[in-house]
Amino acid sequence: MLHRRSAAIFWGVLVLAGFLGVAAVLAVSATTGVVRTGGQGGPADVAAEVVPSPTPRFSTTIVGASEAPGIPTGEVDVLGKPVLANCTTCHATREANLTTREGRQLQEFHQGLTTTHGEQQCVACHNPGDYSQLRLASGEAIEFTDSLRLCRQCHGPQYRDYEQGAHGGMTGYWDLSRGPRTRNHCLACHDAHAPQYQSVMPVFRPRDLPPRSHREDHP
Amino acid sequence: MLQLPILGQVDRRTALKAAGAMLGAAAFAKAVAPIVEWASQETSADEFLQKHFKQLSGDELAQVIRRLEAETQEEYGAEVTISDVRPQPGVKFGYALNLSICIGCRKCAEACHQENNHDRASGNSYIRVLEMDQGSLDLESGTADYDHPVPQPDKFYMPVQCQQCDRPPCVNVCPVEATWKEDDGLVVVDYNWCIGCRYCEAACPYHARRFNWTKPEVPTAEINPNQGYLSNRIRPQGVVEKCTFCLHRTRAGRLPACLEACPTGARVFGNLLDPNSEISYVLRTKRVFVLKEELGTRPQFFYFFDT
Repeated sequence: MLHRRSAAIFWGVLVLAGFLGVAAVLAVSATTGVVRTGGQGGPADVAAEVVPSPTPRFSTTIVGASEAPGIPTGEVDVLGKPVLANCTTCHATREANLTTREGRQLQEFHQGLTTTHGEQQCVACHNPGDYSQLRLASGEAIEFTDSLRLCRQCHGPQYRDYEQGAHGGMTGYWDLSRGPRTRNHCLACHDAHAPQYQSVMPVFRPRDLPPRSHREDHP
Repeated sequence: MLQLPILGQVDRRTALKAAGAMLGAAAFAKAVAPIVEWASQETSADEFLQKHFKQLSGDELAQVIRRLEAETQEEYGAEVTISDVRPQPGVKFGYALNLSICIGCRKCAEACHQENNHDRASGNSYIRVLEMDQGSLDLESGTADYDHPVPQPDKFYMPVQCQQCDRPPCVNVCPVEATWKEDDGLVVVDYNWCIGCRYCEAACPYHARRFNWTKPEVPTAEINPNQGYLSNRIRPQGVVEKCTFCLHRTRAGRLPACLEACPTGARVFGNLLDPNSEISYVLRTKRVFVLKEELGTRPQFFYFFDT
């Protein structure tokens, strides 16, 4: 009798312990579940499980930087192509007028060159000592192909984002450990003399919408 | 009792029952005839017996892919490669869009159309670009079929596509589990398991899903041969499809087609888990927001204005 009773107590305790164990496991998994899925928005959550950045094994090429430009002389060569003159052809022998702001202030060449880029003189960017070059605010002369350094003097926030890959178009690979990338230079999208992005006609008008009149009936 | 001579022992009640049953069976056969005819023409036995994507073994999947490639060759005359690129460990995809820069040119929608082998007749695309009044974020008041030079001075432009939600309502409502969320965050569809009920299309708060009302028509020369089983392979008629962040490209390390097509660089794509990625930079330094945050869908597609 006593033996039977102790056996019953033993089994009862065992079953109870089993229930407790299951409950504990459930509680723990529920807690971790809340930790993993709780909170609002993605960034805070993903910050918890960061991975080391893959080593970039491919390079990024920047396209769209312009060479030193030529000025059309109005003549055409035997192939019908316009004859361009280097800036220094004229400017080497002429005194620079530091106050000039626009093409129409000049008597020759540069006509039709309207500048909508702040209130700056030509020599704010062009080097009056050598017109085949540009000049930084520090006085340092730089090549035309290096113009990104010139733009970033004033457009710091844009350059900061550009450096981080958050400004400017690109093609190729997001994962530089698996392939190269091509990025646009400032001048690929922005005209140096009128940098505001030009308006365009949109392409690819959607054709799967109900007629406009129908939509107006049903707001 | 009246006895029909030819039926012998059969009484009138039984005879009427039999006649009624035959009539019913005939009516049923007639009613389902179009479905039987369609199924026998449009569905091969292999396709009908195909298992769910997640239950396919490597060999079975290879066989399915070979069949699909042969079907594309036969029906569209194009030699294509259908790949099954799996999520990479340590990668969760995120996308951000700079609304200060987007000019609404719709080049992204066009690139999507071409990359993903969309039906040419309906001009389908996974991206809808909304022209919105400045100062408002009311998606209902946005227009998608604007046709004037952009950007207009008093407007801003908001491309909307699949937000690859962490809590995707579209996945929850699917009655057959034909759509699910993958480890890298992408919500995908097994087009061969989808029954076309369109519950997911109704459940999505972003109108990110599209239904194939017809068999997609794509000229042979325009078919993109780089295809993924879960992404841009040519869809069958009667199934739902959606943006997959071009997983056949992005899981191979490339940028999505819509980003490459963007002339202004408004789109930023990358790995959310990499603290040095472009997308992490945007989330860390910009004031980003998500669409319809109050619904709790937790999109992995972010919008921001330049600051």
